[in-house]
Amino acid sequence: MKAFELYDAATVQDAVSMLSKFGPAAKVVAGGSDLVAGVMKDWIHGKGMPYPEKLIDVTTIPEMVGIKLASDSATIGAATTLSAIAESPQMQKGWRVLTDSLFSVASPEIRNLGTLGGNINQRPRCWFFRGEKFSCYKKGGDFCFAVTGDNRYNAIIGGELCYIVHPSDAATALLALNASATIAGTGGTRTVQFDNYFTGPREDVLRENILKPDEVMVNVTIPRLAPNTKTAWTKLKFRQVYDFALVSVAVVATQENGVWKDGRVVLGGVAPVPYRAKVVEQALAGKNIKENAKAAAAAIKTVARPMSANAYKVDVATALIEKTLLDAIA
Amino acid sequence: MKEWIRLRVNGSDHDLIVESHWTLLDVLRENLGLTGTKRGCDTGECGACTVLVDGLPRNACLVLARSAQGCAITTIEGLARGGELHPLQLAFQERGAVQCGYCTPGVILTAKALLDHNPAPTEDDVKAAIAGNLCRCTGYVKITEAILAAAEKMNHDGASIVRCKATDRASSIVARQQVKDALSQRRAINEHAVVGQSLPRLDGLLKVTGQAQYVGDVRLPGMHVGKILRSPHAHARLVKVDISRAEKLPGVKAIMTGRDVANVRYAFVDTPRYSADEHPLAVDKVRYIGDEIAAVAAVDEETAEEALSLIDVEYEILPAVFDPEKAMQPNAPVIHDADYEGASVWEEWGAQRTPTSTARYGYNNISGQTTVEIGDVARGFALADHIRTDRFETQVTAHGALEPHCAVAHYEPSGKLNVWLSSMSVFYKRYILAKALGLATSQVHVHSVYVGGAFGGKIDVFPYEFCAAYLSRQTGQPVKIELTREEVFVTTRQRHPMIIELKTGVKRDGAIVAQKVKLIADNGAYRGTGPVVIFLAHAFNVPIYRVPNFKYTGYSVYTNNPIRGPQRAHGAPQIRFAMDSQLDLIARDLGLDPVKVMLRNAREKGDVLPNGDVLESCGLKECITRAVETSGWREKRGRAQTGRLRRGVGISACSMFSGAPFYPFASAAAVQLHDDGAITLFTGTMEMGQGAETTMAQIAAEELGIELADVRVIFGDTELAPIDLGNFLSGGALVTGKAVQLAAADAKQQLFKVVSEMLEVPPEKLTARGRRIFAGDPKIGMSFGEAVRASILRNGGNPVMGRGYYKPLPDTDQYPSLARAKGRFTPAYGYAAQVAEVEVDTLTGEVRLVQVTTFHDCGFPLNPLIVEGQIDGNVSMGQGQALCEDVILREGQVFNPSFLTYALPVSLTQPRAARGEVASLEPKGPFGAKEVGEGSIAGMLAAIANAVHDAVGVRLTSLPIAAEKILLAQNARAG
Ligand SMILES: Cc1cc2nc3c(=O)[nH]c(=O)nc-3n(C[C@H](O)[C@H](O)[C@H](O)COP(=O)(O)OP(=O)(O)OC[C@H]3O[C@@H](n4cnc5c(N)ncnc54)[C@H](O)[C@@H]3O)c2cc1C
Ligand code: SF4
Ligand code: FES
Ligand code: FES
Repeated sequence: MKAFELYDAATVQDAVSMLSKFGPAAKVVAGGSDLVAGVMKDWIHGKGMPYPEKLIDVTTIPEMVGIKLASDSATIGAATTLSAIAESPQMQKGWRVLTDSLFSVASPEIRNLGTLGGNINQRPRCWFFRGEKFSCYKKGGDFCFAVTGDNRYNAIIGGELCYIVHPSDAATALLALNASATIAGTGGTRTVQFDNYFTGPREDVLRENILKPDEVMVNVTIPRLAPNTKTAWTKLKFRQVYDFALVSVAVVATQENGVWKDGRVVLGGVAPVPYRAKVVEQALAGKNIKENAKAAAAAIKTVARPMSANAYKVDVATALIEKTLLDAIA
Repeated sequence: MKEWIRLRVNGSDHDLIVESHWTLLDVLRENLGLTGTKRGCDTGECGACTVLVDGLPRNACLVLARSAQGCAITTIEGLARGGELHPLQLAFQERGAVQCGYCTPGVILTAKALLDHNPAPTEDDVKAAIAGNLCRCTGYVKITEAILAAAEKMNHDGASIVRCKATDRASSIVARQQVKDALSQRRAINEHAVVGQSLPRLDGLLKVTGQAQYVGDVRLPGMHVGKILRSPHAHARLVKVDISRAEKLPGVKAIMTGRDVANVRYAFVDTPRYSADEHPLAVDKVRYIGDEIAAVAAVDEETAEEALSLIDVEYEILPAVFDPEKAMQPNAPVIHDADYEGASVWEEWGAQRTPTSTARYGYNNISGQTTVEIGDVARGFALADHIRTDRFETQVTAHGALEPHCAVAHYEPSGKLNVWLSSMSVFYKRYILAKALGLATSQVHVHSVYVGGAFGGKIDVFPYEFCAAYLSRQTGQPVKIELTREEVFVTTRQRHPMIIELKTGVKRDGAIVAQKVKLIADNGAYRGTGPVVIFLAHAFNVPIYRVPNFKYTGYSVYTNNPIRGPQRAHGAPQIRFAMDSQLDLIARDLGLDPVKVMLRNAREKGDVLPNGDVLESCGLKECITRAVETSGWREKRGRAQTGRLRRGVGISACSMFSGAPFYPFASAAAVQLHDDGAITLFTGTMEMGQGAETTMAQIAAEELGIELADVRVIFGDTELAPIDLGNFLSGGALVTGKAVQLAAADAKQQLFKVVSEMLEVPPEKLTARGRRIFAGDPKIGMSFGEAVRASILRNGGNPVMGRGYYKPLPDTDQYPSLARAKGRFTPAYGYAAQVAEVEVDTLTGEVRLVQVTTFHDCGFPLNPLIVEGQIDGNVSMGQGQALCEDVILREGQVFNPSFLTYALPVSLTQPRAARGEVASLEPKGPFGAKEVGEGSIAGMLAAIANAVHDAVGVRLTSLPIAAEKILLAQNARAG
């Protein structure tokens, strides 16, 4: 690994001012499991992705660590470890779809280290992006190797220019839960719904979200579920550990006598952003979930545009949506 | 940025100067010398580096050392308190949860954190907790058992007795019951005191405490770090390799390129027919992505890496070919343009070079061909009632040993070369290295180290080993080259992917009358073991079924893919997948039970194989019938099911050599008797997890009538131990074991002579048992130590040393012909039959391996605990290769060279394991023992494929059997 400088931030303000002082070669680091071990050890860099020279540790900021419960929501510090969230009995009780998604992340050891903010903001796993040799759009190059190369794990929905799938399991669950993030920057603090947090390659191929270089994600707030809401999480992968989602599905369904009233069906592993499958939600609206799960799931086919080697993911997604809907109401 | 930090490790504070980018793993190993924390990947993907940070397991390779300040860090070295081992350490040692030991410190610490938080975990809790700790050797069965046992013991010993929750343990109890049955059967045939007993391993304590030394742990004063520059192109001419910028970098000590070693050539296969085709560094061309171009020795890793980036290479890109069938076509790019000339490295051993040319094969890029013809296939097919033709394809798989390959070399001014290597045969490596370096064989000293798993992947002599030695000669300093995980995946050999076209004719009752096999193995850019694997695919298959009319043509083909080499059961998994998948299909076609078809064709004791090998022991049929009975096959096969989750069972069988005649053609052993009644055993065998150190000591102890604890073993060292075949082709138990037995017998005979004079009884009346030598009544005699002391006093100081040697197939002095499969192959074959039960989720296509029942004929289990561990490891590796392991290659580029993306099985997917042995007592083997370490991976693939077919009616003829393939096949069927 190339050398870098490491600074501890004491407060959010401290972190923000260091970021703005040091400029684009400075990055926030939390557990470092993606930034240091994934990106920097493998020397993933390019014109649009300078190799970080200065890292600012945010796990040393007390206000960014821990879970606060309120009557209508939970607020989780972005530097809280994934296992602290997943193992919290209150979180398991109130937001099972999130804790299930977190238990499916990486390994127990990594969950003890990786943080929520790091998980949501981790970089994609497209193997061309992660390969030192491939200078692709996402690194500031002028080519997408996935278009002509082996794209079995790339996007089947919403790709354009770049065809990554968003890697974060937490993000998929949080979008389904209609959560929001608090972000601090030089200009102050703002709250952003996850609906508007993730951005596709069309907007800016060099990033996956709206976070600006001088901004820090401070915490995440998740509203409590409406009464009669059922949830379920499914993630298909080879093993039950380590692997990123081939396809994942988070369902949050508010129902009455088995009929879909409101809710979200969100897919991971299919698109450059956690993908809200509105076609599926619409196909369920006002209908009995159990009876219509299969047909509604199949609606995903109408929006899928698979690449040369990943048409199978459309079948997988269809099957998983049906399964997760059925699991939710079971 | 350098700064002072204070780390609290195992209760003591350490003040250190570190760079910001150093990880906790770097600092623990390099600065504090705590090498019990292992580096398996360096990227958070294996768990070998797990340490406890404030009581929670974390990957030390992910934690920056500086960020670990203020935390209490516990490493494996800090677990034992006041010289007393933690109950987990004891349980791992006693229960066979340790094999190569490389994963062990990490798993034990993870388990400690679990038990600290949850003193009475269920089996599922344990599996979930250790899910991030990869273990390639044990298949997690014994690890899980050991953790549960430690929990139980701690709860008993503690003040309040917390009862273990029993919920999820029923499953393992079933399996354990079956093991018990097998044990009692075994006891009936075992009249021995030390062999045949499930004794804990001799190396267990070193491994559970993190003290076992692997190559990466070797530290020598003034040691430089070496790194290798590799080709980014699959096929290119080297126009220029310019090292002038790199040489100027401060800290660089030596640089070597292909030009420096252009006349050095070696290869695994270097026979009269097939010349050596590898150079340590590319001379004129690079032939695959990863091919070695230059090597650098520098003061540290960062400098070495930077130097590599300063080497300027100019390439002329050449057309490349990656598909073996395309490579065989007349217009394909030629990968090795000219035949290599010159002497075979084996000339001293009688090999004569007859120049050959690839042209005569009628195809391009052929690196080897094996042709076998038995009977008359045309006539055979004419007699058949039913004929099937199928095409099977197997994937590229990786060995996945947790220890990355590493070499340390130290040239002494005298010209002696000391090396520490990740190896499977120290004598083989010594020979090839010495020849390549132009040294006398005995000038090279390969030192003994533990090996963190090998599975065939550490047999070959690799360029990095040569370069470490060469750079050490250049610099006069020790040089260490440790490969990254990515380099291990790409450049240290993979399993040959094969295309197998199989045509089989049977009678109505399933009797095979004719079979025609065309097999193509892609051996990548260099010959590797291409000609060997196509020979072995035949040789490991022929001992299973009687096929009167048989034609086999195997080709190994050059492509611009990474090099392929030996991997556990080398060639057998591929061909057994094809054979038993097709036999299942044939049974379906004919409406027969596949078990009946297998038994109808299975070989028996006394059969003589076409090459002349005689099956003096053969438990194949018994393995099949016992596996079928134990697994509940009859109730489970062909169940009518309608639910979402559907189960099925499948069966397959396999066989394996017990050693073969190859360099150094024999194994020797020696024992020295000490005056306290203990002995030292000297053997050249390697300890890479398979338990050789322990089983060899058991053999010596049994023969001499002493205890295992009385034996100390010097192993795997070319100067301290006599020659040995090493540990491939599964010769360990039979060949080395026999040499050890004979060495002990030699010593015993000498000792008996002394005792017989003293007791005035003829030596044949004497018995050695229970540490005594006696005539009839144990009281009439003396202790073993007394006898040794008497020998010294009465025989001019002779403390007694025994020698033994054994050559497999003593009457043959030739290798079998790889091209014709003629000549004797091996003294004996091990057998196994396996029944797999799977559960398929029809909605997602996911396959869960529920249970695997393995019955194995290893002749005689020298140490049942170790034998079970070998079977578990084979089952786990077979599970991975059947269901999820796949090296993904596109145009020669490996896309998943990491443990994250190359999916080794994990604890959570571990199936229930039922295992049993059929003791066929091989007459040539020590106490009747023969092969156990490799074979039973090969039955797993077809067993699983057949089980999936049984469950959901989908037949997959290509591996791995991935969820999406099943889903697509189902959807296609549904229309
Ligand atoms: C072997 C392996 C397997 C994995 N499997 C999975 C998986 O199955 N599913 C999954 O979802 N993830 C998986 N991951 C990713 C893992 O979950 C993330 O690496 C981890 O969650 C990142 O957390 P961290 O604190 O270590 O982040 P870091 O590595 O410290 O940071 C990651 C990124 O987020 C940014 N960042 C971190 N915190 C903040 C903040 N507060 N504000 C703004 N930016 C921030 C950093 O600048 C950096 O770009 C895997 C990782 C590994 C190594
Ligand atoms: S999909 Fe995106 S990240 Fe992958 S190669 Fe294309 S541009 Fe790069
Ligand atoms: S070495 Fe750290 S997880 Fe593999
Ligand atoms: S004992 Fe676990 S990897 Fe070898």
